[in-house]
Amino acid sequence: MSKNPLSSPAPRGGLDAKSREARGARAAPTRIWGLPVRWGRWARRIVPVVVTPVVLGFAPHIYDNLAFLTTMIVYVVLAEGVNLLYGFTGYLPFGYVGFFGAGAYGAALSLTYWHVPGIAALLIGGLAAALIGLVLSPLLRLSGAYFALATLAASQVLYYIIANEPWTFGETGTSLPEVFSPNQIYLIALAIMTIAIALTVFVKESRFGLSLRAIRSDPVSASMAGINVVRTRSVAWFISAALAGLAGAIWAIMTAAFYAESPFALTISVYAIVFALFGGVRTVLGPVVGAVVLYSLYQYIGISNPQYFELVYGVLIVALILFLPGGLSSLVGHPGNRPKWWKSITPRASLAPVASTPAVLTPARETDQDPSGGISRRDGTKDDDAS
Amino acid sequence: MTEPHFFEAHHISSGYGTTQVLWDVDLEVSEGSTVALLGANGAGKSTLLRALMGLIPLWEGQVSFCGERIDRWDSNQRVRASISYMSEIGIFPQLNVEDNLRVGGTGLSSRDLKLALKQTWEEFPMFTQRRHLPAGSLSGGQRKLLGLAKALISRPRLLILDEPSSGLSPLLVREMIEMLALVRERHAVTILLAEQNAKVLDLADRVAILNGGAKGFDGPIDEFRAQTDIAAQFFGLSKSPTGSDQMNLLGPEDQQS
Repeated sequence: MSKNPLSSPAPRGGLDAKSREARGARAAPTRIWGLPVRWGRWARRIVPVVVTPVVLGFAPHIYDNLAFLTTMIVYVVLAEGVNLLYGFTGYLPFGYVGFFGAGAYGAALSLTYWHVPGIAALLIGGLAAALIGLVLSPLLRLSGAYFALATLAASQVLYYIIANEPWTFGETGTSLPEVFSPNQIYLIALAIMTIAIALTVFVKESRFGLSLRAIRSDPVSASMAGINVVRTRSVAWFISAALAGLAGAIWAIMTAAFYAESPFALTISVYAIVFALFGGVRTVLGPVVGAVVLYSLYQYIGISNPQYFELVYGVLIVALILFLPGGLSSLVGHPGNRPKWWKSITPRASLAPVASTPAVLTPARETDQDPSGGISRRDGTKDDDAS
Repeated sequence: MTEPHFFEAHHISSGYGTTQVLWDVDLEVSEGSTVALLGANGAGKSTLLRALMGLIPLWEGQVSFCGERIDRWDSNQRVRASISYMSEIGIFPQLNVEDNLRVGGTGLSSRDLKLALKQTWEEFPMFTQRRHLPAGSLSGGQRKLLGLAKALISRPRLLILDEPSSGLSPLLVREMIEMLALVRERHAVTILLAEQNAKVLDLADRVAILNGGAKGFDGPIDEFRAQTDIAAQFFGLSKSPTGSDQMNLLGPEDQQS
């Protein structure tokens, strides 16, 4: 106890690399995806943004049902939106569908009344949702279940207004004055999805994202580090709302005629949240994979026998909570986060990190071997004290 | 400074809910000095620091920094105005060491942050290899150091520390105080710290005592040491295992009494 107290509980010399090796500290990764760190970092940013739309762009050649595929993309966007909000700020938006509906009606009504071009209608949809987000931003003062319930209530309020107003065609249902080609819609949906993924990459890698994680960890301390908590949170909230709005707008343009029940159906919120969680929040591709897998399942089972879909769906949620709390992405993520049962059936994955720990420690770039740093004086003092 | 005082707080009253904790407290910190805020548990030290940082609302009073009123500013604005605050917890356990430091440097430009990080690795070499470890995996002493490094990375002019030595063993307390002395020298930073440990007297050049939420003694360290009755009264309140140490600081005659 008399040795090197502040620096390390390890025996004297705990500061030097040797004893750190012995204690198995994790050093900087020397390679990412087999590439040097600098390149690997960029690969990690660029590959999801490029590869995902390319893969999904080929999907119609494999399964030629554009309505299904477009809806799936819509869910990918929604899941990424939930990821941005829930994954990075911890706010669970149960009424997320409100933004989706606002986007759908923003696009549909601007097409009906102002005959704007389709792209403008999309943007207006996104903007409408962001405006709703602005109106609802005081809800960010709530936390936990209260926030979830308040957004749910807000989405219901919005639904009842839209379903009952004549100018929104609440009773007759709205139908668009023009019809767009499904191929075009699919491409635009892919573009929006790319934006959503790029935003997630940005939030994950940037200082803005770091601020969000700090706030999520401890808002008071974050504020004490100079972070404007309210503004940072609100930006994430607006981005997430706008994404849901864009998704709603694409859905509206694809569907062309609908009643208010459809874009305000609570299942949309639930699916978006479940897809995001199933894939794994706080990752870039988790929500994409979650939405693609689960929505494909929906198509496969749900369309023909919806009663089984509910069953499968329920079992999946239970299984998810029990066996995969970190989502699908936790199976391939950092070894420390992988579920135990998964480690036990994938021996290499579980053995590798343990076995390689000492090796991983070999030289990070700037080793602290030289004790000539400003701290050496303290060390000297300490050693004297210890003896 | 042309201002009479670098950092001033006047007639501070504050509390939690309807419970008043601070009664009309004045505090002045001149640039380059180190002010130790002493007081027993519950005397209001932390509350005063929180009120000064805007973490709890001020019921009455005003706070100014470099001649500017800051009592209506948000906490993060005060931090950006180069006042740094280290709470007792001090770090984000879920973030890794490097991210903790980067969060601390929120107000810096990317280039400045890079430079500041580099300097921090030199200044606190024990974190260089641990930069990718979650801060929650550090020991108590290391956490405190990380909290200090995090508070320093934004290059503050005023460093406010809430019990930097709390939860540390007596030996670590001495380490911490030495570290603070080093930091003060290197960063030319003014320090205001709340402490219970008498070791802090080695560091401070001015002492202010809070007693039941009101300010008692306030003066230079020599005066504090000279007025043994005040010192004894204060340290009589805290019967910590380091009590003998504290008495040593007061001089042999008090040790006997």
